[in-house]
Amino acid sequence: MIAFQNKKILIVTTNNLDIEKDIAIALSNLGATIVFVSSNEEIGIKALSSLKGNNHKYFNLNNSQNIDELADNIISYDKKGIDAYIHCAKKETPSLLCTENNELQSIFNVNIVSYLNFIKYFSKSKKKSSNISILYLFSDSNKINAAEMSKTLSLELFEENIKINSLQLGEATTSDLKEDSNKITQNVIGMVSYLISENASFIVGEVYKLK
Amino acid sequence: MFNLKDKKILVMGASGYIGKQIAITLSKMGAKLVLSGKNEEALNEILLGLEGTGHFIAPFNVEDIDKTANFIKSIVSLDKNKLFGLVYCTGIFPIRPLKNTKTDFLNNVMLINFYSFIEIVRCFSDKRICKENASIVSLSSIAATNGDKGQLSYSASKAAMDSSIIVMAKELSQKNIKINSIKLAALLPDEINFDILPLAIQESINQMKTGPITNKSVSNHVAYLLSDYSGNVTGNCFNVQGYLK
Repeated sequence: MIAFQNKKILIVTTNNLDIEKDIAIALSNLGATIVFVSSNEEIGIKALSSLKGNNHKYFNLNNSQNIDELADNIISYDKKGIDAYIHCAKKETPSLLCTENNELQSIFNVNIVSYLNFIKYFSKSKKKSSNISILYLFSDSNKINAAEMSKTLSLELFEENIKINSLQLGEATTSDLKEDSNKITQNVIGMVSYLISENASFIVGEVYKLK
Repeated sequence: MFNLKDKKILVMGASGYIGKQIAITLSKMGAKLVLSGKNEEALNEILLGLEGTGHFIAPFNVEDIDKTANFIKSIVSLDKNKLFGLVYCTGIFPIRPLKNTKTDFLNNVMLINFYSFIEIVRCFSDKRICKENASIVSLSSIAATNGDKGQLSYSASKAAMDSSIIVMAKELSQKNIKINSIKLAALLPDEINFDILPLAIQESINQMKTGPITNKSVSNHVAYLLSDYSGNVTGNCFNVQGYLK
């Protein structure tokens, strides 16, 4: 079995926690310490109570001036570096024509800018773990995403032992999740935990699609 | 790492470097293996190195494609148990320029790398042969979409394999059988010296920057796809190219 004993995993997401919560529960069951970052404190803290173990922590995305400050806090609370980082880019734009500029910027910030800033922080931080595995989760219908950067970012950061992959969830995968589609959830959890584990250390810069 | 306890799995091409490692890895995870390949002596030698008991060898030349159905039936007869998994790593990797790629040569490469793959999957997917929730994994190559000079026949055979995965996944999902392939860039088994590889492959490995993909890494990926851990993920050709663009 895959194990994450003594591993600290950062999960950054938007307001709602659906599949992220299931992933976090599964990873905590495998021994990981989970750090949730989202902008909805109530939901985030509630999600922590479902996790196994008690070292997990929630951080509000809106309470920090910038990502560097937030990432500093994430590392300093238990003085441990991050071993894996899962960024869930789920903020969608239903129609480009109906989307105001500020809304568009907000989507870019959540889906792309914060993701790149976290990576930037980890790449320069001496406090990170020796190896860090990053997984970018996005959905079929989400056109504003950074998935295709996996290869170029990995190329730039391989000497710092940072590897990056992306996982695209098919439309059926994301829409069915609200219902009791245990099978699909298990597929996502299995793939996510495999890709961020040491067993998949040879998989780098790929964009996988979960069909 | 993944639990394959008592799962009966047929490994085609088990006498090759990759097939051998896959067999060793799967046996460590508790699988009951049937090793197939052309070289009976090599299969027997690999059999001795497997962990656990209840493994078999079943020598078969995939070029005898008309005998495939009987071959697959004989594997079930070995212990009267249906198969849970199939790993197809049989293949040849000839380098030949276009001017020398004649029909008979092309046919032979397609026969070994593709036609026999389809025939084995066809026979395997019979409900008298495989169990519910069975899993098939084949080894493909980056050459399927980005072949190099001299790889015409090989690239074509791997492209055919990858296209077929998507179609077969749709058909086989009705039977709860999953099928996926792993598209490797350059694989270097531990037993092979880097310096004796063709220059084009050396160059690919250097560009990957991760170092070559080892047969152990690939074996773990195969085990993941065979196991319950991958759920019912099907119809995927998983790229493994390192940092190679």
